[in-house]
Amino acid sequence: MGLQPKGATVRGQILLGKDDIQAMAPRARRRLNGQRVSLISQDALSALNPCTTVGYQIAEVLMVHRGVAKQEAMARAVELLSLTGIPAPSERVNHYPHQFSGGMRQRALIAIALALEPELLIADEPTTALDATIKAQILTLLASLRERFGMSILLITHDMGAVARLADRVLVMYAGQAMEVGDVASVFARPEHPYTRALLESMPRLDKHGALLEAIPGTPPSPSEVAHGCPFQPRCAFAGDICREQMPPAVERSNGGHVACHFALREMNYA
Amino acid sequence: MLSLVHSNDSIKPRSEIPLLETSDLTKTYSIGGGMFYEPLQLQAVSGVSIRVEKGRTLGIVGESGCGKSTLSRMLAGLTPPTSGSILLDGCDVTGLPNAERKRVLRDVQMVFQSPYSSLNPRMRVAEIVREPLDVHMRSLSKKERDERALSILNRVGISREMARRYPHQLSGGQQQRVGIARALVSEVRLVICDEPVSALDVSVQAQVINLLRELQRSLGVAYIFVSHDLAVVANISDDIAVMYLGKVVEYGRAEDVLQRPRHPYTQALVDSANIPDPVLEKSRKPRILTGEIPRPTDPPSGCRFRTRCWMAQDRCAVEVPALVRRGNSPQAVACHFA
Repeated sequence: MGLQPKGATVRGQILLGKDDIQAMAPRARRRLNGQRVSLISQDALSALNPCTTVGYQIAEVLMVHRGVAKQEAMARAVELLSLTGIPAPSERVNHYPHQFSGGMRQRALIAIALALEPELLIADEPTTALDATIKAQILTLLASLRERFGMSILLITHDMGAVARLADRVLVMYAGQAMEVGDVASVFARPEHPYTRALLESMPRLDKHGALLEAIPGTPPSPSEVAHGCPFQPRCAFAGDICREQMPPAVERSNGGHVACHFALREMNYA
Repeated sequence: MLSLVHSNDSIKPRSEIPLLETSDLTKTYSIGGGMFYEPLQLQAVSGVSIRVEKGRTLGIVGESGCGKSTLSRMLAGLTPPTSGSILLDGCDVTGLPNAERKRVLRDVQMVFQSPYSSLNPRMRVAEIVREPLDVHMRSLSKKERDERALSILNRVGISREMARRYPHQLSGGQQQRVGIARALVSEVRLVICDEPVSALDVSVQAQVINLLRELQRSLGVAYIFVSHDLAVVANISDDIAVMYLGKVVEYGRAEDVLQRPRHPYTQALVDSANIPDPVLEKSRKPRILTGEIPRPTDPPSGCRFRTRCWMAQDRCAVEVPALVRRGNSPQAVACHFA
C-alpha cells in the first residue's frame, strides 16, 4: 500500500500485474490504492472515521476516485452494505461507526475496500478482534466476495485455521524473513521448515482435543535483536552450527514451493 | 435449577462434596438511570449452576457478553453475586462475613488475561509472588516465604536471576508465568484462569497451556478455565460449560460436548473453529450463524439464543428451556429441540 513510515528503506520490487509500483510517482500510486489494491485492517473502529456516517465513508471512495455524484454514490453505498450482509442497509448507511457492532464495522470496512472492485484485497488480521461465530461469518463472506468479484486476497494472519479455510498458497514468516512458501495443502500436510511444523503442532486443535501440545521453547525475538544466521535458530530443535553462521538460502520443496532451512525436513525425515 | 445439577450425573468423577459448586448464581447490574429514566437492568449471569471436582478442570467457553468474566469474578470473590450460592467444600461462602470469607477464599486464586497489567510494575517478580504469603501466611518467616516464592517460580520456569527483575523486563509469556506462580504460591486448591493465554503469541500459548496442565498433575489443583477460544478450552478441560448471554446452554464432559454437541449454539461454535487442515477445511460446510449477539440489556424472551437459531419455533419465544439431560444425551442441554 506504500504506507510505511518515512525513513523506512524498501528494497526489491513490487509488481502489480506488469506494473512496478515502487517506481510509480506518488500521485499515480495513490490512485492505485482503492482502485486496484485495497486494505482492510484488524482494528475496524480506528480504521473508520468516527465523525462521518459509514455510508459517506463508502461513498467518498467513489466520489474521489470516480467522480460519482454524491447521491449516486450513497445509493451504491447501500448496495455495498447489503452485499457485505449488513441488515437494513438503507438505514445503516446513515449510522456512525460507534453505532455498529464489531462484526458490522468489519463488514463496513470490507464495503469500503470493495467499492472500486479492486483486483487485490489485502486483509490484515481481519478476524482477530472478532468473536468465533462472527469470525466464521467474515471468513465465509470474504470467500464468497472473492468468487463474485474474481479478486485475489492477501490474508495476513496468525490463525493457521483461517489460512487452511481460505488460502490456496501460504507464506510462513518469522522475524521478517520468509521461512517457507508453497501450496497450502502440501505445506500443511508436509511442512519442511521446522518453524512451520512447530507452529502447526503447537496449535490446540478441536479434532485432537486433550493431546499435550508441542510447545515451541522461547519467545519470538523483538525486531531489533534478531539472532545471527537463521532467525529461528535459537528456538529450533534441529539447529546446528551452520544455522548460527548463515541464513539458509531458499531451496525448492519436494512438493513445490520453497523452504529456507539448512536442515529442511524432507519426506524421508518423516518416516 | 438447583436440583438440576444434583441430578445431572454427566459430570464425573463424583465425590460426595465437590470442591466448588454454585447454584442458580445470578448477577444483575443496574446501568445508567437518572431523574427521568429508570436504570437498565443488565443480567450478566443468570441462574448458573456448575460444579468443579478436586484436581479437575472445568472449561467455560462463550463469546463476548456471555458473562464468563463476571462469573469468574464472582467465583473468586471479587464481585458479590446478586442471588444464588457458591459452595466451597459444601460451605456457602456468599453468606459469610467479610473477614471469614477472605479466609475461606484464600484457597481460590485467579490468573488474569492481561499478564502485564495484573502485575504491580513497582514490585520485583519475587516480591509479587511472595505477596500472597505476606498476607495469608504470616506464621512463616520472611526467609521461608522468600524460599517458597522462589521455588514456585522455579517450577513455572522463572530463574532466580529473573525473579530479581521488574515485570516490564519480562516477555508476555514470562509475565503470565509469574501470574500463575502468584496464584499457586499459597496452598491453593482452585485457580480461576480468565483468558490466561489470549494475550499471548501463538507460539507461546502452547507453553503456558502445557505448564498449567503439568502443574495440575503435580499439585492436584483444580482449574476453572475461561476462554472464548473453544480449541484452547477443549485442550485443557475435563468438563465444559458453554455460555450464551449469561446462561449455560450446554454442560457436560468435554468429549461429549465437543464430539456430539446438542445445543445449536454449541454446534455453531464447534463449526466456527477452523482446523489447520486445508483439505478438511475446504470440504466441510460449517453452519454459520446469522446475525449478532443481542444486547445483554435487552435479551430475547424465552430462549436467549432463538434470534440466531435455525431451529427456533414459536415455543422458543415463550418458554425458557431448562438445562437438563434430554433423551440419551450424556450432557445437559438447554434447548427444547436438542
